[in-house]
Amino acid sequence: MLLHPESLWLLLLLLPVGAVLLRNYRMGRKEFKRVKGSGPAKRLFDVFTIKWFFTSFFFLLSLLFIIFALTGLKDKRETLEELPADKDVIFAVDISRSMLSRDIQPSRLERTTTLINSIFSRSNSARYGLVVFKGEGYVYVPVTEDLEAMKKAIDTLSPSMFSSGSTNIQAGLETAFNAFPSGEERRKIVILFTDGESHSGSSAAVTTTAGKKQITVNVVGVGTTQGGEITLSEDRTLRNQDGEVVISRLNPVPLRKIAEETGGTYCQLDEVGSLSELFECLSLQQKGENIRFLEQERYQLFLLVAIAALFISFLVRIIPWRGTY
Amino acid sequence: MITFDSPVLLILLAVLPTLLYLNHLWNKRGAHISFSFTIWQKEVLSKARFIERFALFVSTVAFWCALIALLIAVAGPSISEKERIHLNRGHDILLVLDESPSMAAQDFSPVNRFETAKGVLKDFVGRRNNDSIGIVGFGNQAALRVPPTRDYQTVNDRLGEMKLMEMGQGTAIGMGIAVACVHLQHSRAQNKIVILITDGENNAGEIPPLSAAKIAAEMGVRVYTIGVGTHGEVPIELEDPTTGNIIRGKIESQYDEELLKEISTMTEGKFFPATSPGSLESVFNDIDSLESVQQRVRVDIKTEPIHREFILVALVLLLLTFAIRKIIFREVL
Repeated sequence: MLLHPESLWLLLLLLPVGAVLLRNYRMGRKEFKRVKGSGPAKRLFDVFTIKWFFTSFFFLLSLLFIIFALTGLKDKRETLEELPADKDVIFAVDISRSMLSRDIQPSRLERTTTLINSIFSRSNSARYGLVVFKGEGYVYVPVTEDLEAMKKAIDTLSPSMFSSGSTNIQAGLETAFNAFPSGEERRKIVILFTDGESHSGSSAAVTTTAGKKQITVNVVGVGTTQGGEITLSEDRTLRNQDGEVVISRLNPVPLRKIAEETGGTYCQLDEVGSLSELFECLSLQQKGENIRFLEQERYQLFLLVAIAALFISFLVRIIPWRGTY
Repeated sequence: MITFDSPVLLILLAVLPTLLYLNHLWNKRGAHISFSFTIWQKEVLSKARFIERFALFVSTVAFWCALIALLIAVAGPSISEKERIHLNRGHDILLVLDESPSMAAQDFSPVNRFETAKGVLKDFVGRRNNDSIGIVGFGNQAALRVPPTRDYQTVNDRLGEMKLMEMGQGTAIGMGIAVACVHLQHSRAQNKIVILITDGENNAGEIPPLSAAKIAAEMGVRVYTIGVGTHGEVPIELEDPTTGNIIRGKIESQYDEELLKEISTMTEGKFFPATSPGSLESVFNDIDSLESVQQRVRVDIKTEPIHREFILVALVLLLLTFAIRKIIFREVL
């Protein structure tokens, strides 16, 4: 497993570097030809060739291994870390208008609130918090033991809470990450509820922050991939500028990615799944979940090889070849 | 602070002086041609231009820096940070703040009683590090503003957003205490505390203050009561949040000292009078010292590896050296 597979693109650098080295060798040969090959110059040229070959080869080798070190090769089974038993769970709920879609009955948002309410009733050892987001995130209920406050807040969720228009999952998650109180030994879990129709923000930045702060993000994709109309009121649906009915579809691909990269799980809240399946999927009742493997990055060996190659390339160049003249 | 995973490897840095000597001071080294200037006539070899000498200097420095960066990176550098982890549970504190219009009385400088109270509460929250803090506001009714939480940022934000008269003109002390108790019922904290700040007599709400105090006493919640205000007539000025009109006038407000005292004795709390901003502050200092407990703290060290940054810098510097020497100067070896 590679932590930074994109670093492999750097390998392309080796081509121009190699080309320049080759060109410089040709230039060197031309210079020697100008001096014209009587005895000593011929032998001198051989020394040049050998030295050129080894210093170039080891320089390229060094670059190659530096790039390998940058890819961040991971070794999974290095150390075990025991996670704290107490949990802080923050629900990050998408309250954009697409969450009003009725592709699942009664609506995406209502199914979400039902699910959150039943999570409370099943596991009450945790502390909970609630973050809502559209274009920006807002801490609606800070992490608390006070279930009364949570229940009340959940019943009031609606897209009209904010006026902002777009959906930015990144903003929502970052608000949630910052809402965890520090200075306590507790597991930090975010459960993201969204239909994945994000209009801005990047997931890569989010997963890096989550990794640094040791936050797990479980994602619940709300809705169906077939999609549905967005019901604004009883007889009004959302239409675009041309008057066509807007169909909102669940977009599971980026959501699954966020869950995978933060060590969380992805599950889908649609017509098919039952509640207990969802609970299992969210691993809220699993045993043995309190241990996780720390990923150890393997780069030191690569770097040692790179440094050795660089030394050799350097030394071949400057140590004189005795007995040629 | 920077720490190393395998500090032993830093020993490799010792190779540097040797290499530096070989490259720059050893005159029998290869890859350069040494000759005597005296053979040549002076002007045949013109002195290199400044820009060329500078580029060469940059490439040399870049090479050595790259090598140093690589040698540091291989030792596994990481930045470590200390974090204090609290091992015991702190208090749960609910601040119950009067939002009735009389809190706009200007006898507390610089603005009024309400703003002074908010400022003092903010300082109080700033001094917490392990207690959960919540806020209840009350007027005719009472409502939770923030549930008890250790997310002090949110507490401060919501405290700043509080406005006078959002819940009418009354003073429902009983409701304030009762709502606070509702939100402390799930609390697993050993010490549950309510701090009530008011400047008026109870005149609204379905729950009389003493009944609320009884509930609190049964739940083991200690209620500290703070009566704010001076005696006599004081000018007030406030904005009605529903109409936006400015209300000005004079009031003669007086809190019910007997009631506040009784509430605090029933719940094993304490009553404090606060006649000035300074005395309000000292009240909170008193509460601090009354409620201080031994903290058990463990210091955790969190490390974040930074070797990648070093390797990237090294790579860039190496390529810079390469570009200057092999591309610009067309060094053949």
